[in-house]
Amino acid sequence: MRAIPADQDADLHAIAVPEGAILLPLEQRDGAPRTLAIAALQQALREQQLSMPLGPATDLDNPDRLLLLNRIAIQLVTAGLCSDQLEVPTAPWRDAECAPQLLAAALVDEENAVVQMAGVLTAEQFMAAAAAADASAGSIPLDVEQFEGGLERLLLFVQVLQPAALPRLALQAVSGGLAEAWLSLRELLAGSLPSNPWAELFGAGLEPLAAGAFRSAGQPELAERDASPLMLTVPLGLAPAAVVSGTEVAACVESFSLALATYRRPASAGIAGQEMLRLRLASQLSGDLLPDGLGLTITSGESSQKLVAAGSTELLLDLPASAALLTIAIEYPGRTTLQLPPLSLQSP
Amino acid sequence: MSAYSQLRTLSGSGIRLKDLPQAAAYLEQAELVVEEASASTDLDLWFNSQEQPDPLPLLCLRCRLSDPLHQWLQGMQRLHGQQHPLEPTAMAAYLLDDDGSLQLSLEKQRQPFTYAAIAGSTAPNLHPFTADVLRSWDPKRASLSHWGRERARSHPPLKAYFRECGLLLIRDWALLADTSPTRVHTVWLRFGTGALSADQAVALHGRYLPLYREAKHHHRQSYGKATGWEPDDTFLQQIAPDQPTSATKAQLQAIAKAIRLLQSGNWQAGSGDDLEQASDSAQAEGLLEDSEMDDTTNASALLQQITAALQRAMDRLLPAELAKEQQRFVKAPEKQLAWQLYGQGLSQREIAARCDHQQAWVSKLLDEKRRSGQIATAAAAELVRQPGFQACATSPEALVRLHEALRNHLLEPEQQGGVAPLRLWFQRALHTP
Repeated sequence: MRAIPADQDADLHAIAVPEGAILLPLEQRDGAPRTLAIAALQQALREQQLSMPLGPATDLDNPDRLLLLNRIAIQLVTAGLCSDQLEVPTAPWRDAECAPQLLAAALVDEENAVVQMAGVLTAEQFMAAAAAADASAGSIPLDVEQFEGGLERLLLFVQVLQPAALPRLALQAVSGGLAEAWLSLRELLAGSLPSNPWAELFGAGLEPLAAGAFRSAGQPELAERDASPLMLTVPLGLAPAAVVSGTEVAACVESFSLALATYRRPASAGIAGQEMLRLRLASQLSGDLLPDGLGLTITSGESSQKLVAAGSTELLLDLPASAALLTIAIEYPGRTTLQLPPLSLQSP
Repeated sequence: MSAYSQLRTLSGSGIRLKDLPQAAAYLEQAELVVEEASASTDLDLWFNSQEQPDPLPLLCLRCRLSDPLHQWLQGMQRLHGQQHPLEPTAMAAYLLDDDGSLQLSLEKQRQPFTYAAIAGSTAPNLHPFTADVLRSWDPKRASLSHWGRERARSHPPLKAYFRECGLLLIRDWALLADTSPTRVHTVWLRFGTGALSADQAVALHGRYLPLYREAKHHHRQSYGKATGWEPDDTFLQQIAPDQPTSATKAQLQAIAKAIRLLQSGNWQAGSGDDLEQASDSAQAEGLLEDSEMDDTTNASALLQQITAALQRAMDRLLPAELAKEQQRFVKAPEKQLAWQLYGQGLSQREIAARCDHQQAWVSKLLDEKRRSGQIATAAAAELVRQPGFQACATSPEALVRLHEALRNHLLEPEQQGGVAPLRLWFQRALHTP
């Protein structure tokens, strides 16, 4: 950070119009923040000659309504131009049927009629960002810095992504909200949690880490002494409309399971040892192929990894343990994605 | 200068100091012979202006006010003029528009420039600007010079001018409302002054927020606008009933000042973003790996698809952009030169030197990030319909990577020493009759 001149007069302080900010006609400067944000969006669409439908046509200014831009459902939240946090109302996230696909943040200076689109979060990213918050509250505070990409990313997503790539997710998909479903995997696998919070939700079970359970071509087998004594397995299946778990799996023709275990990678060649998480998605019938196109996505902080089955018997991934929350999504083209609640390798 | 008998004013020859013998004579007659400005003289003149229907005490205050306004403008020029195209005379036209006349126009009628006349006017804005400041000044709330600067910061025409120059004036009250308790705590520990602890500053700010929102809502309903709200004694009393309102106001302003100090560093550090430096050629080279393509697909064929899609997107989007720029070439031939140099592959720094402008001017003119982003989006929309890129339409992360790679491809030359595709497009377009 640059040093501040000691004689700098606060009266002289002004901020540069942020890069990418939209300057509205000055006649609009006394509008409400949402009105200005929508006007800015409309202005950007006109300037870029993008003819995308923006709705709801007669109720755009209603803050309780989601925007529909190119048929993508967007929750638009606003804050002042210099804000470092904004409040995201949780009401739209109660029901997965009508929850937003994107959360967009607009920073608004009403007095200067300037709008900066801070960026967007997908529903999956919002779930991860809100994981530690009290989902039963009326709103969840998020740092503005968590929103990325500005207007450019919003327009990129709504123009290019298939709607199925932006699943609708509900905060109350699990009873009591995500905070209660936040799984401390290390404690669970060590057997020190009184109950398994994923058992009821996803039919997940704890099993002893059997020898060879994680054996895989090209991957080291987990040595018993280095691994967690238990592994967590989540039964999964392909239903006609969605990737499902728990009891619904019994009715599926294609079924498979996700197994999670932690282990300690030993030090070698000057590299320090490290705690790792191993995930393995495999058919429930040993040796069977997974459905082609089945995807496993793991998001940790800002990074994300995705594996897609193509003639594969398993998808296997090793991740270094970190303080960041992990979210896991199982996807299949044309089906609603199954999003598991965030998990942590640390205690909540 | 004599604070109360010399006026800073904008004339045809620029900003000058104008002697006003009538004001000097009034001061002598009222036994207020002072060279330096003082709060007590301000008050004496202010009371005199209310007791007598005489324009002269107000004239003295107008002189007095013109100097801090001038200093404020000079400060703005000094602090922001390097990065923003501020013109001293243009700024002065908004604040130093008082010519020292003893009459002013109110409701289309010439009237004596007295306190009674300006206080009785219902016009939302008065001209000259000094009339507006003196009408609203309350000596109990602020000194005259401070009030003048406050009003300047919220003067809509001046704010509009600054906005045109890429600069935003954010008032303390809005800034406080935008700031989270966490940040208040942080900035107070780092930059706070005075007796408040960080926890006390957070508590004060916490009481301010809901009352501010309520007051702004009420102001908007009453006046139909967001601008112009000022905290009054009742408002300040509600925030901290156990201390004088002046202390509460000073504490809130101290918090705002601390926030500004933090922001100065952040915003300054973020300005002058040079995409040229930020571009990561390694990412461009890794384009094919990032796009999650089928292993069997021929890489060079995919590269051809990318190049063709980008070219089509540029051909579709850039002619209208260039046409807009070309309209400005007659009045500003250095802009044409800048685009030509850009097409030849010169860096922003080199272009700035050749055009005799700051690098920020070049960066704003080229607007590379926005233009390249729009082209990359259009190209991505086309590419995801082709087999090698379909996966990018089903994954936000893959799409973002593809978009970044396309942008980098536009901005980086394919071969060392070559010219990047976006620059090449402008080079060809500007050479075409």
